[in-house]
Amino acid sequence: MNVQEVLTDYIRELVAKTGQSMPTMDQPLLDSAGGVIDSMSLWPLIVFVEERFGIKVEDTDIMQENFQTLRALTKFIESKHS
Amino acid sequence: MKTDIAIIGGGPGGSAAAMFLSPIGLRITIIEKAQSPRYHIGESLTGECGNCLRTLGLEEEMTARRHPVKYGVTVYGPRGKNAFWVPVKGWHPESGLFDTHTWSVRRSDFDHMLFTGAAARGVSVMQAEAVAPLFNGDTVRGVRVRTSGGTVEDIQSEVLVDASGQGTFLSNAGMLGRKVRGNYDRQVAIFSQVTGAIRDPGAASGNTLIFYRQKHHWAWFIPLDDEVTSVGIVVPADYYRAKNESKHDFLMRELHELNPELTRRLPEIQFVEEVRGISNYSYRLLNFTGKGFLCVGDSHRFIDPVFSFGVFFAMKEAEYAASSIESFFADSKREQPNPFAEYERLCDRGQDNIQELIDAFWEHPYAFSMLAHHRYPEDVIHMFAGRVYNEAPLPGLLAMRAINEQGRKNRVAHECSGSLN
Repeated sequence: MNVQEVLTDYIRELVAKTGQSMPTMDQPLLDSAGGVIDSMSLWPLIVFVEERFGIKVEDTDIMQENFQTLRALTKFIESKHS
Repeated sequence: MKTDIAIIGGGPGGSAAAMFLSPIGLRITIIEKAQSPRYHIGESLTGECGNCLRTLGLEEEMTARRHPVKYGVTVYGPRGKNAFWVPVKGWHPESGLFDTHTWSVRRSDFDHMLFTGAAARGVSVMQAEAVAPLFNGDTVRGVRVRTSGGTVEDIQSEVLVDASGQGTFLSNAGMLGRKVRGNYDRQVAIFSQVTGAIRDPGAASGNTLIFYRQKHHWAWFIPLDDEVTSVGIVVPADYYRAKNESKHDFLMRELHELNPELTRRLPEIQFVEEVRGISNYSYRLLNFTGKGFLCVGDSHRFIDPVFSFGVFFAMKEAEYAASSIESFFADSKREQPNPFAEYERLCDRGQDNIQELIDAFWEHPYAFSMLAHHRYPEDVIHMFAGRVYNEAPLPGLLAMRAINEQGRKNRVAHECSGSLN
């Protein structure tokens, strides 16, 4: 699975629990913009991303820009790999 | 009249400076224009502010006066969930963090306790208004005052302490450097006091609560005694103007609407105090010390009221000012260009660090939450308590600084790309 597929699965599982609708690649992920990720679920997501992709999410990576959509997050993880 | 140290203002900064200085046996005079007690806002004290009170030997009196005991602050997220708890913790160099408490206070009572406490320790107090500083060449040598009866008097001093609060006496007299607008200067606070508010049960009943709505839009809830709770709303000034309501109606509506958890805690709102408002209250004055003078607290800087640092800065800076003034009197030569330069650097460091904390809290709420809960919880507890004067910055503080810096870069990049399109 590529990065995008792994992330999409993760978010699909999350929305199944919360009953929200699955965001598209460009719909907001963060709850401040109406998305499914709030400050409680952001940490497990960061831990998952670090373990699954073997990257380190630095303090300065936890910017809204990197987590605002599935597309942004995919791009961020790919940029860490390259 | 001659005194060794003249202090303008009998609020917590001025009174605490006088009390910290009283053991060294110098003549100290506080000049206060208002009748004490008087109303003031800023009622929640940080952990280290509690320690300033302990250092001054006031813990028993704080307990006897039944000021609500504060074990921490709960910040409620926008929908009343995801409460974020910041405990008040002390710190010991060998054993680390330990549980402790501080207080929240009705400022008229608290400030009066400090003011009369200073007088009881041999400090002279004078009810008069400071009119203008006095000079000998480029050195401040006192202050001209006008008493309530209209008599003008010159008070000669070796050191003049400006603790005039938001009155910013020495700045108005043109003595300080440039006034820099703070990051939160376009905000308005509307506030009053209520009875019948639902607090946390048991020992937690004295805790401070913060209710977050969205960026720069939040409410405070601070117990003042067994019955009365201080409540206030902080919003962008534009938002307040657009509502076009009286202060009373604005506060009433916001308290109902701002956050479901706040609504639950205020089933019936009975204001027991006038509804008041203040605006544009974040600023910084550069160069606030010099020959013969120094400033403490709001007289040189006020950041943002969200985490109760107002009285803390006044009292902590009073403590540092007292030690700096003591060294000044112990030095027989007194030839330094600015005997209080080190004090000024220390104050700047503390206030700059809190500025980083508050900027990160507002600008990067997700990152802030990750740092506070997962990556640097102890450092964030230190900072909220007010342990922000260490020369070596805490890793959590460095992380906030880096995040704020990254945020500024991203904003610039965003604005540049916006202007190209």
